[in-house]
Amino acid sequence: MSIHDLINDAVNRGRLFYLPPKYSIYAVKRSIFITQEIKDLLEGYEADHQWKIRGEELRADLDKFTCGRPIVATFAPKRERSVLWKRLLKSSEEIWEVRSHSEPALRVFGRFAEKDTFIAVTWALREHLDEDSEWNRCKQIVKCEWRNLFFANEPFSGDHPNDYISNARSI
Amino acid sequence: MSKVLSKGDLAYFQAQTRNLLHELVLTEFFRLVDEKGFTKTDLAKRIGRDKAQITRWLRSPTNLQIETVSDLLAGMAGYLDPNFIRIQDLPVRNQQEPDWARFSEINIPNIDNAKQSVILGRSSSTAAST
Repeated sequence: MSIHDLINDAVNRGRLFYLPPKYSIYAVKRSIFITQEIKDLLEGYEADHQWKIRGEELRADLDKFTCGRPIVATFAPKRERSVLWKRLLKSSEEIWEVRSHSEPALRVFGRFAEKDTFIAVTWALREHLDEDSEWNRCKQIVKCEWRNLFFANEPFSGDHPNDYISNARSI
Repeated sequence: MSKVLSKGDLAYFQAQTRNLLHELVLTEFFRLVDEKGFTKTDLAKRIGRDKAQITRWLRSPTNLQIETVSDLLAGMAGYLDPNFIRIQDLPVRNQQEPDWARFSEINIPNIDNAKQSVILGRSSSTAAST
């Protein structure tokens, strides 16, 4: 099965959800698929009013990707704090974080299935990521969920942010 | 247009506006980089800031305030010329998923035409046009 077949299958089984731009006036240039965990976050984590607002702010950040806007992306090490899309070390794991800087700052973790197609798997509050154990936990979730969804299919791999994201720029 | 927007809807558009302002600065900066060999150091000198601060501003929309946007654009010999986009004049797009998608719309969250109509300020019976 191709990666497209596997994504279609996962969506039809309710394991992944396709995330189009929030409003259908926007053209779609890239694709994001999300797990139930990310869907719950976007729709209002713990049914809390502040979290509903935070979910909408994250949605705007993700829609920026989906609508094909220029994306600042990097492979650089951890100290590159303010970039929005970043492939984590170690690179062979092919795990990316999406940084959403509104308060409370949070990170979405996932992998690319192909260029411009991102599978968003899990998330964490930035303040909880000061310890390596939380980073490792998030990375393990991504790897485990990837195996469950796509079996032996490897995540997409590239040598430059532009290999993953069209119109990506590094600062 | 008489319906009240939720705080969530307002938060979405606030974040989008921040992202668009950031994109405006970024796009112009990279145009100057590509066409004129302009650098972050050049920009920093022109507006009396250090290069590290310029880097932080260019990397993330949340680091930008209106005054900062003004400084950065002035540093690139420009200014902001905002337009008000009437959402209700924009076409609704039928094709929202990739060409290869073979899944039911039931598995696409937040496709709520009635709610969209409230936000977009138009009748829910408006036909999709693209």
